[in-house]
Amino acid sequence: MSGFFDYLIPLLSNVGIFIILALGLNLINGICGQFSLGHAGFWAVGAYAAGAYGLYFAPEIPNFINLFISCLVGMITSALFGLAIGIPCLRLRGDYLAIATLGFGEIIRIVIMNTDKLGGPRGMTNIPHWTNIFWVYAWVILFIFIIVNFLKGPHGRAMISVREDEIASESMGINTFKYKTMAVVIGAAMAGVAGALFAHGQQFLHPNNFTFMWSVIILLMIILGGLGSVTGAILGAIILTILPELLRFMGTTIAEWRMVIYSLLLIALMLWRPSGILGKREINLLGLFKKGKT
Amino acid sequence: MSHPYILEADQITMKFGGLTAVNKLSLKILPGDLVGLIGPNGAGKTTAFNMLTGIYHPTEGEVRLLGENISKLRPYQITKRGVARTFQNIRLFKEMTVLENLLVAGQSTYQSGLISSILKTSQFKKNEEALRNHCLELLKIFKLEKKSQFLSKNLPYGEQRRLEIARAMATSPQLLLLDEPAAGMNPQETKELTELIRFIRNHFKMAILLIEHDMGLVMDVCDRISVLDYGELIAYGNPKEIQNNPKVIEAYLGPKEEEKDL
Repeated sequence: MSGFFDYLIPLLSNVGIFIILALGLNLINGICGQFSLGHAGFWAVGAYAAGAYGLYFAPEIPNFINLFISCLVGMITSALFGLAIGIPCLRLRGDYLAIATLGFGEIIRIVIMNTDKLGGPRGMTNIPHWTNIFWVYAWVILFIFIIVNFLKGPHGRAMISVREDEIASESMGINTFKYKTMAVVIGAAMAGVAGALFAHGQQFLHPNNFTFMWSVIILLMIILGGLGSVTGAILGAIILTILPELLRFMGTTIAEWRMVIYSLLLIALMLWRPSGILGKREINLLGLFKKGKT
Repeated sequence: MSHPYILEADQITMKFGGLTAVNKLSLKILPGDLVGLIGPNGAGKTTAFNMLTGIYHPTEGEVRLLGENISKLRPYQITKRGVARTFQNIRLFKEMTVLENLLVAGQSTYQSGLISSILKTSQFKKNEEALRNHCLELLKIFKLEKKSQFLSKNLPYGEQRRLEIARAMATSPQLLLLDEPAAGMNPQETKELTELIRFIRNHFKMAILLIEHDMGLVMDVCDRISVLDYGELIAYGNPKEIQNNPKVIEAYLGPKEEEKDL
């Protein structure tokens, strides 16, 4: 039985980390409408920043405080990268923005690969194990709270209006560039925290953990759940993290066909529910998404 | 008021590569004025609008709002200074409700900080309440209050047009620019629109600049009319004068027969 929990708890931790990643990308892609393919890059920046903190700078203080500081380090580093990437890239639109962010993600990975201090191609080892499932879900809940309130306020509305029609939004007094940058910075900050939790959970980081494929998988999560829906992003993250594990139980042949099953799933989705499982709707648990009175 | 004109375009020119879309256009709009801007298709009317609202920056010349040069500002900055516009092809926020469309437009006057909106401070709630009331009042004026929770894409065409004007009004402008508000409307809807424009002007005491192809509407509501052709201002005056101006007739109907023969 304990063996089962040894398997289940890290898996649930991973689900939490991917929920944070999906929520962040959903803010950039689904809510603000800026097509980004570099989310794994922000994730990597946060993970390595947190890993470096754990290896080189952490003082002798209780683990949970260290984890908290490490998450902040990951968050701030990633947010700064978001700002630095966002300001030049957000002048581009659509496909061009996607290519630019894709390039950014790869540049990050290759820079890490060639930086000896970060382990280079050997990977970063011996990162202290601080993450536990409690703190992962504490961050998940904090971020859900922030995103939900953010969306109900003026800033969330402004971001949605940028997605709906950028020119009209600008003509209605919305500084669209500011809101696009804000979406990328917040999304990157969340990916940074996910990276820190990941680093202190796995204790080992390798640049190949953060390939372009992971950006695509995170994107798949939010598309599957419904682009622009917060609960959809959570649902997508849960499904696409649990599904490979379920396939694993079905024997090696099926596990090897994982990517084929993913693509079939997506084709089926595009045929029957082109806007994702939830579309833009929300599952209204606890009345979190209740619209204000009129 | 030190500046008699709300908006003053001084010899503005827009060149796209070798093409001069608007050439040395000058416009002056007084407070409370209702000015029409007409001209055949491709005369540069919408380009002129885009220059006034900051979507394009004029290649030459200057746009002044109450004496301040705004020709280098971005659209949102110009809107915050009191110029609102509608679009020729409707540009609503389709996936947002009717009320939300107005809230977005109105919120720059009731801005709350990022942190206070996440923590829902009482200041934030007060701001949101005031904004909501302001928008609901506008919806009532525009007879859209029953549809406030509809997604804007689900409104019929005429109401979408009306919502666009309401949304522009939500930014609390001093000057409203309407880009072909009657396009695609039937005669009945056009008549209602004429009333609406007149009402806005009297009720809000604001200046309006109107681009329109429906001559009935233009001649009916406008105090003064500017006529553009091939990017140049060819006539300016009250509706009577414009109707009898030979240059305007030529621009719309072509030169007179005997001149052509010569």
